[in-house]
Amino acid sequence: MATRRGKTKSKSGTPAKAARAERNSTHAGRVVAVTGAFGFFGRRLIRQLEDDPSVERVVAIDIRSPMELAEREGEPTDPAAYLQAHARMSAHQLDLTAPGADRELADILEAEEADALCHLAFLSNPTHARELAHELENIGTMYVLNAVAASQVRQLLTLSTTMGYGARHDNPAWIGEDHPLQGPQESRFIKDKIEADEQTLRFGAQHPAVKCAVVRMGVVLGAGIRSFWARYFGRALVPTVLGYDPLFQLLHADDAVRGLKAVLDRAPEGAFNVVGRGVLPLSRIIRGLGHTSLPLPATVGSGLLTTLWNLQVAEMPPSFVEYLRWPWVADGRRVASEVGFVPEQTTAEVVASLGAPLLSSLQTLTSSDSPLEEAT
Amino acid sequence: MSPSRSAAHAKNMEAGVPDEGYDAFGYDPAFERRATPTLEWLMDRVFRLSLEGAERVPDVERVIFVCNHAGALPWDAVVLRAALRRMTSGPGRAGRPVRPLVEDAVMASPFLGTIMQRLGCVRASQDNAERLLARKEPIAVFPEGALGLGKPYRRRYKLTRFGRGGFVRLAVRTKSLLVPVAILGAEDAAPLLLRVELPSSRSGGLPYLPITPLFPLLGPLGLLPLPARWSIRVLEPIDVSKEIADPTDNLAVGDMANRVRERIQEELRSLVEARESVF
Repeated sequence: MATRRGKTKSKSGTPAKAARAERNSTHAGRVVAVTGAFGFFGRRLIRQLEDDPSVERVVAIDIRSPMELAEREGEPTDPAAYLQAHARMSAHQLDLTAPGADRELADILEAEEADALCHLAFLSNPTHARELAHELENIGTMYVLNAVAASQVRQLLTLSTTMGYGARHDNPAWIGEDHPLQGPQESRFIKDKIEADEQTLRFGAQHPAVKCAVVRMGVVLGAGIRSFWARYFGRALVPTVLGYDPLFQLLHADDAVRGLKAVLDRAPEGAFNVVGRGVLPLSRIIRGLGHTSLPLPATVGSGLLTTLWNLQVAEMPPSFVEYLRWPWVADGRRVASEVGFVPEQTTAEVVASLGAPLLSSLQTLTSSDSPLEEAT
Repeated sequence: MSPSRSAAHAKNMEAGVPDEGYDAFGYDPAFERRATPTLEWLMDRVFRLSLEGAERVPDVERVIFVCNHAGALPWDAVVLRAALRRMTSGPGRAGRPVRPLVEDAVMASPFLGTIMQRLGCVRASQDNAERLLARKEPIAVFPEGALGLGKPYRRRYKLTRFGRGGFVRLAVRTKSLLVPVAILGAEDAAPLLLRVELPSSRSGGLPYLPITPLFPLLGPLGLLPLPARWSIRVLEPIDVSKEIADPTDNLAVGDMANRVRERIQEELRSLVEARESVF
């Protein structure tokens, strides 16, 4: 379904062609580089790019080797067979937290003649390894921007999150992209993402030749998604805040990847909320998944969470209680009108379709996953 | 995504058609339907609500009802919505309920805020108001805001300051009709005797604990309203955009806000005089 759509779009999709004509490029199709290529979104996006005839080559950049990925995905681990399966993909191992990563990335982009870069090397879960998170997300994005500035890349997409807006009692019912990013400053996880988001937008304003887009992704659920949200909703007893029942948007993982691909194809500029369609109160989602809400008074809940987080037992830092209490529904109209992307599944459909697979995907989780393994 | 589907979806979002029973403001029609018998009973038996001026409710796309605000609990918002639904429904007409814009402190308070939201109330903000008007949903504003709710019982039936005139500016900008409404009864149904200031009202939450004759004496039961008589009178609509061309003309905006306020105050006085007894 998604593949077919990708193909039809590329036939009629003039923006990519126009961009090519503009540059008098020597190669036939687009060359798209992806950082964090072997994370959840990266792997799926690459699969879509490989199926897209308008894409000549995909450059996968990740801290892991493609063989590691192949093993995890159950693909052939024999190098020859692997290369055959991914004929149009080249892989580069790069640690974005290493000093000099910007020079190294610029070299890769130049050697591969990349036209576009999709920057997905972000953590999908809060971690206690604060320094690592900061180096990867904030400094890593700086390296990426430095590399793009020095290269011929003319399009950049950075992954961000609607959690950056923050959950606040005085948020508008639908948060537009121009709303300030007021997420909890005490959360490293949010703060680094806000800074990467803002860095990219600033870079776009300073480099008119590079089309910079930021995709602010909402809560994504789906088989294989192992974010803290998936684990939160996967609990049999789901803690909520007593007396509050905020509205949530859920985006199916397939829609999330389609959204990224659509933004990549259209090459728009600016920030875009890619969020679920329609809303459901938190309590309805929990019930719909067949789980039970455990309402706790806000003070008890955040006290408990503080203790558990400090003991490194909880997966959410205490500031995330706000997201279970106040509204942070984001407006997805800009991406619908400028990019033409609308999720196929509504929030209710995501809940209905995911009840079972979500649970089974969680049971396969191992606790030995390092934060980088969790990176998408 | 086919273009037709995404276009239809964008249109749906504009029109505010709830995708799955809830609209983006948290309104739950099913919840309201379940609450309606209780509300009707409250209106007819407890409040013995009298409605006047149904014929003055304009049938245009953009309407802003401007109302006085009182009582320790925002019963007026809920009652007004039910009353307007009744006034605008007739044979073959579904009725056009209003979306009351309620102040932060109420919408952010536990339980109450969620219930109000499910019943169709919306947190008062320019952004939310403009979205609702763009969706052609009539809105009701209470320019007195928290000042109105925080009015002690001894100052009953007296309107406080009318905000900063934001509703006038909104009406001029969106070319909406202003419809003043006088509501009598809210302060008698939940008279605010005392306010106990609460220490932590930083992030939303109640700024003070209201003390009424029944609350907190009877616990949650004390939140039930007293059986005061209510009247709601809809007044003549004002087409402000005809009188004020420039929404940034603060003096003209202030004059208009005062005019609406005095108009409501006058009617409220006459409603009080016409009423035979509070209960």
